[in-house]
Amino acid sequence: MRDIVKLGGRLLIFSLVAALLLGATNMITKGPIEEQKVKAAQSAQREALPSADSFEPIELPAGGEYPLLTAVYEGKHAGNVVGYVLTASPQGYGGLIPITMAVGVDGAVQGIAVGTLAETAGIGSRVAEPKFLSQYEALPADPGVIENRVDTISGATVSSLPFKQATKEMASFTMNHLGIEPHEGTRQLAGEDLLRKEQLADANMFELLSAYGMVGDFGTIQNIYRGIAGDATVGYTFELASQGYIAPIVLRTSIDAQGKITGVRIVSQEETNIYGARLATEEGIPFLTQFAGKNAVSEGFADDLDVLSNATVSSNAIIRGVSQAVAFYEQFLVAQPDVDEGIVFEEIVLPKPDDYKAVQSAQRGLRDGTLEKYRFTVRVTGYHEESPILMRVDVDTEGNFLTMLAIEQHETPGIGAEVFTNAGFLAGFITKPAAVDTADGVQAVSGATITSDAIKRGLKQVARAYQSLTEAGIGEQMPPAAAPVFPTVSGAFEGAEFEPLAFSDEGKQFPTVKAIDKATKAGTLIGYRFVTVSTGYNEKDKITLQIEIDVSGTFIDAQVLSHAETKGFGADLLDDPAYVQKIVGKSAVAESSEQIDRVAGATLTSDAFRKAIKQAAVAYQAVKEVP
Amino acid sequence: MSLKKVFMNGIINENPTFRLVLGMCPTMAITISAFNGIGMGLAATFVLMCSNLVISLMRKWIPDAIRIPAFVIIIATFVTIIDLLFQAFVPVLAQSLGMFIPLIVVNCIIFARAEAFAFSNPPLSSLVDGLGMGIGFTLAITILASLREILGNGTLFGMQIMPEVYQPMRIITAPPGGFVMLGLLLATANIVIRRTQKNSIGRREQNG
Repeated sequence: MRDIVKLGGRLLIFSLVAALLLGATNMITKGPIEEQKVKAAQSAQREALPSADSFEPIELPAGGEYPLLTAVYEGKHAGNVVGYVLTASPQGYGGLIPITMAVGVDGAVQGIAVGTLAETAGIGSRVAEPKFLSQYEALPADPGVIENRVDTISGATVSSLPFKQATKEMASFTMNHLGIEPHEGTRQLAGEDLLRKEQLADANMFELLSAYGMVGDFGTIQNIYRGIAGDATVGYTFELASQGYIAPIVLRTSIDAQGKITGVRIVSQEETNIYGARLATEEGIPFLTQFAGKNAVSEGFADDLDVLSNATVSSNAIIRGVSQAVAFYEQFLVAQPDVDEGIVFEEIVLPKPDDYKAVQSAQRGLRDGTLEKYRFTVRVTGYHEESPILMRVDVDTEGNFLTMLAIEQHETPGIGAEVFTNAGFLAGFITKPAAVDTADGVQAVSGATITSDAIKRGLKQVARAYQSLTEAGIGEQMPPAAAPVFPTVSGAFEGAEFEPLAFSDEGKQFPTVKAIDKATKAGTLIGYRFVTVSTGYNEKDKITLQIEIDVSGTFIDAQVLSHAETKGFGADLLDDPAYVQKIVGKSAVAESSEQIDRVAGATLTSDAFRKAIKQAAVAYQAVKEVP
Repeated sequence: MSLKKVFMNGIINENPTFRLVLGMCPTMAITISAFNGIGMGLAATFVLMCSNLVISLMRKWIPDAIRIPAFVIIIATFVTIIDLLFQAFVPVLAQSLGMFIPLIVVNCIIFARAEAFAFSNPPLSSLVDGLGMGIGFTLAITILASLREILGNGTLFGMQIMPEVYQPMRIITAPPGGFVMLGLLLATANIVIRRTQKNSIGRREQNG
């Protein structure tokens, strides 16, 4: 026993002395260590906001309004505030994610950096990768913009969602608490983008529109980039490869938003030294500068262009390439919206809808009373079976396909999604007769056959629909689609009287709303009743709903009038009053529909339901009487 | 043994890295840059000297039964002191050595010398032994680190040594390369040291 006490006592003495020594050392080193930490933090701040030379911490408002923010520093340069450095550490998958973000006084994100992570390698750790972080570059420091423009990493939601949330909070702090107006910043362009900027000086960013080599009439076009400044398109840059005397000449040319060619530059060529290659030397400058300032109009484009003497083949190669770029621009890139301006569309009843079931609706477009074109909406299933493609196909009065637009599609980006704008594909039917043969003859885009075939199917259906219209003699009788009568059930308006309300949906904001009734009680307006028809899983028998909204702008009732959805899937959803009535009590605005669940396994049904609710709200906002 | 012999012993005959093969953990992990090698070596030397001295001074006072816990307390105290000093005054080293500074506590070299030498030898010899061992360790890991940095990164102490065309062998800075380099150095060192020993034995015999 004595031994233990003796041993223990000795150890105690050793520990005591050790502790004293350590305490003394600590006292000496504490200060310098703190200084080091501050310096390290400052260097991190300086890295985030290089334009500042001094940083001062800002007090965060108490009250938990910004729970994720850990610190905010004001960065000054020569006494003037240049920006703010914010830090947050949201909880990720394996631990905290330290984020540092710098916002300039101009309201744009100047930089964003991530500290040491404990997220899963290859999954959550991707939040620290440049690909993810570059989304924030020059972004306006606005939580709404961040919400819309920053994509979380699929498969790494637990890491990327809190990240996004934290950055939104930071932006909210700068916008609301500090009062900095969010603005788009200028991005640093790198590499080839810098070269592109030579031709489109106003562009901040270049977006690749199509990287698929074109064939046929646009065979020289290799890549097309859209030059963007903020939200506006500044112009388009074409990268071409046009066969010269020996080998393809690689060119770059750009057309600005005013439709003028801004320049032509030879990127590389292998022509004969004493002939074609001269185009790439000083001798070629007069030739190349001919293009600058020319209007991007195909007709008579090459008429007044001179070739370089003794380099005719090469010169013509360049002219050919630029002409194709101009033609493509003319056909597909020139802003289209004006085309439909001034046209009024009326619904047409299709004579034999069963022959072309995919066609959802047909309209004729009249300009000043004269028929100009027909418009068909058709629905086909492409690669993504759960999200069918909704296309809009226009046919002119001579019976040729005019345009094809995807109203809604969720095909694979970069593959199926590109088919809709693929010039080669479109050239297979645009301006050609709207017949089944034409659709059949269209060449599918290789690598995107399923989507191509789906579009072709849609075109065939449109062709058939158009044929049946011509056979029925469209010009003759054009009854407006008779307002179908829907059996209504008693809803939440008690003892009310209903009178139909005439409405028109010019902008196609709420096409599923087929009937609106005003509900009055003792002469006073108490609300509106909407009947909607939307297509769920069952394409033939649609879902009819009755939705009631009172004058305070709140949903007070929702009921399913009829549906033919699949038992075990969508039907169960619509038969469940809890699901259908969930909207009751919510405000009648479009966003409320997002509160209704999109149910896995019954996506089409729930989407149709949500769409109807959303459009009822939109219709309400449109028709409601303002007191 | 004379002090000079004690000192040289730690550097050549009983070099902790090449002959005693102690402290392999930090050796492998740290030796990716020469600067790290020197930093770690100096930190270990400081701890070796201080702990050897203190343990030797108190060798009569430490009961045999609790000598291990006592060693740990003493060594850990000195390691913490050097750790705090690094953090406060040489943050660069603190950053790059990181976790391995606290790990000096369990570096076999220090423990082995405390047990095998300091506990049964006078203070001055122990101090010199600590110094010798420390310097031997520093030399060994600096040589290894320099080789790994030159071959695996093309630089030495951060300066570009190899010509631009040299494509660094990245595997050398990775653990497998470390083992290979260490093995090669061990072989070389043993050949050299044994030859020196043979020569000195030969000379002694000659001198009678």
